[in-house]
Amino acid sequence: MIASMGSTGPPNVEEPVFIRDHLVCDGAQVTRPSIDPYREPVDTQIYLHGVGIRLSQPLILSVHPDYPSVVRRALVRAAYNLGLLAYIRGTNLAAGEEVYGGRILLDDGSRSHAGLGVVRYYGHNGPIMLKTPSTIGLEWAANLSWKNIVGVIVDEDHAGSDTPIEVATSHVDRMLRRISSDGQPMRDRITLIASSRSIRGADDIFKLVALGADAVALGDAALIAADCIGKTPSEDIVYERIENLAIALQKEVKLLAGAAGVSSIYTSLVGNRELLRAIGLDADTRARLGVKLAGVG
Amino acid sequence: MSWLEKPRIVQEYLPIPPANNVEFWNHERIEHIRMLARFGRPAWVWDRAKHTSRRILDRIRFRAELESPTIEPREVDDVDTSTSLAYRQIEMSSPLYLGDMSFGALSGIPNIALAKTADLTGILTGTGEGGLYEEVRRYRRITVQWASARFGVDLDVLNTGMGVVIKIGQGAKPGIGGHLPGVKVTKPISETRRIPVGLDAISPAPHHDIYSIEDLGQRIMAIKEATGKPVFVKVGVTNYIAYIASGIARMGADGIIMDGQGAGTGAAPEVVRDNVGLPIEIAVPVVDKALRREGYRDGFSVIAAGRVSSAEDTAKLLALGADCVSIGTAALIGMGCIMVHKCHLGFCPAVITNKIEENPARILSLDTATNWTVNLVRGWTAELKAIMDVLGIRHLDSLVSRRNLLVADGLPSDMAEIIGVG
Repeated sequence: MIASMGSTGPPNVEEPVFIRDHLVCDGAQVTRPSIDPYREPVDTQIYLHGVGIRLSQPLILSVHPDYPSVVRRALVRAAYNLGLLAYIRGTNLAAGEEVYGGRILLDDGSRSHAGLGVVRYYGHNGPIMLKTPSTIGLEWAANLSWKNIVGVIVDEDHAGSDTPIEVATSHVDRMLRRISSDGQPMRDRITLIASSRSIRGADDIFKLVALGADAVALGDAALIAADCIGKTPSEDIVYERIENLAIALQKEVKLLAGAAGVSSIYTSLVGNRELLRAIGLDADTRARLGVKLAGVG
Repeated sequence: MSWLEKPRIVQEYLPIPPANNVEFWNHERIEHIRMLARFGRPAWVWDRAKHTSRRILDRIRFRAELESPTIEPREVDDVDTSTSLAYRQIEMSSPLYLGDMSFGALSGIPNIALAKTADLTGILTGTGEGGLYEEVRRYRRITVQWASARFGVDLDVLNTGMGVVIKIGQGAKPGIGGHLPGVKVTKPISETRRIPVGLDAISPAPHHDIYSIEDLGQRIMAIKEATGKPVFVKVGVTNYIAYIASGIARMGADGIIMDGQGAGTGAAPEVVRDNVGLPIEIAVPVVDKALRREGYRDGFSVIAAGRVSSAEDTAKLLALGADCVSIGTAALIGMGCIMVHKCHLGFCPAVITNKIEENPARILSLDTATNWTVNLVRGWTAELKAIMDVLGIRHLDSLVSRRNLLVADGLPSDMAEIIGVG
């Protein structure tokens, strides 16, 4: 999306809604060069350790049970075709979805582990991800057996969420870096996914990745892109819209990365809070996020 | 058909359309700028638009305003707004720089009006990226830009004007290069920039011969060697702005143009425009303090850009530590911009940023546009004088870095501390 004249966005003009609206991204200037996202490569691939797959970009497409079936089919297909993951929630697989299983995370709501939700990687028997509410109460992690667990999904739509997704994501990332397994920080083998229906675009994705997430699951943005509430476009049209959304988000992530001088999202952006600065957040929230105040070098 | 007719000459303002969204450049700010541009006289002393704005600069006030909140606008004579830039190489009648808008982003007449205004009022106009338009070249008080695509730059161009601006970045999109959409790359633009008609002109994000502060130093020295003119470096405001500014000063530049978040642009990716970079009011004091600490402040020019909307903004940015401000959007509003944010499409209703055609249906009147801009500079300067008078400051240089004149008004204390206001 190309625009012109000065920004009208938060926090300096519009009122900020979320914590991420108070966070600004860095632009690389002369002391380190920016990368030209139109001409030079910016690698957006993300490697999910335990699952053993790559995502083409730090994006996961959530499929909520209330989404129309035409949108659900488009999301599952697009996730498969674009090298992403579909995150199907609250239901089992629908007929015909098994063929896309290599790109499906399934939360059928049926199981739990240490009181947390369990999300299964459909393409593979065995490895599971834990789903936690967006919270900073992490007592669950203390005595957990991490065997078979390859990831944590911090889910702002999960019952019990009492903390903004930005804070919880940063918190879990740091917690996983503190505890170790076989002498290595747990975070090195545990994938961290931030999930919320409120993710609006590439800026939200970029900021949550910088706060520690390997990938971000978006929800209703895809529903809005599909534009089929009260109308019934064909499945092909919905699919095309979802695919365009994902491709455009990737391009915008590349623009933000290139501007910040980041050539690889996975190696240089995940958890790189130094690329962010806060405007109008209190010291306590900044400390929880690990983000400095704007103007601090 | 439009090409059979003479173009209609536009010489009045359009009505300001109702805003759909929250807008920094709201009706009050546009109306105020139009008052200045029409009459060239002060329209207010204290900025009245700041009270409804979320911007940090609007939550910093002069202590003097709290003591005398209502002052009628008036002309003041015994106050001197003149200053100099670039180690005293450029004398200025007022600390105003009309900022770096290119031929192509603007449609020709506005470029000429801006350059002419600088000559008529004794300030300075930056001509932006994209080669020098012949009609602009004849004016003296201009700077030429050496940007990452080097469009139309040769020694002859660099030797025109009063200084050279190495453009590293801009406030609307730090880290992203200039962008002139293909729809605006018409034949005249193609000739000035030496690029094909109809293709997007996307400048590289970095200068591929400037990957470090040392590289920048070599380019600064080469340009100085070749032209003997002062060199300014323009950057967007980002996290490490203090280090960048100190590197620029150490490498022998004569000044820095810092462009804050929220600054205008002819075309930028929206996601970058809305998320990258810091506001100018944070950068100015941080950079001023860093340069003073390192002994590079005297004579070196700090030019502050990005949402400079009034004389009060100017006075505050000077008190925070700048020597001069850059006015871009406000100058366009003075020429009739109604802030519809459609510059990139090439169909500007105010014929300021429309594409440059050989037979346009409407063009801006050069005389009117120049009058408006000259009046804007005069009215703006008159308001600045009135503010200085209230502050008890007779010479502009004694306003610079006077952070003790300012007080935070509803800013969190840690932010106030970073900025250096009580």
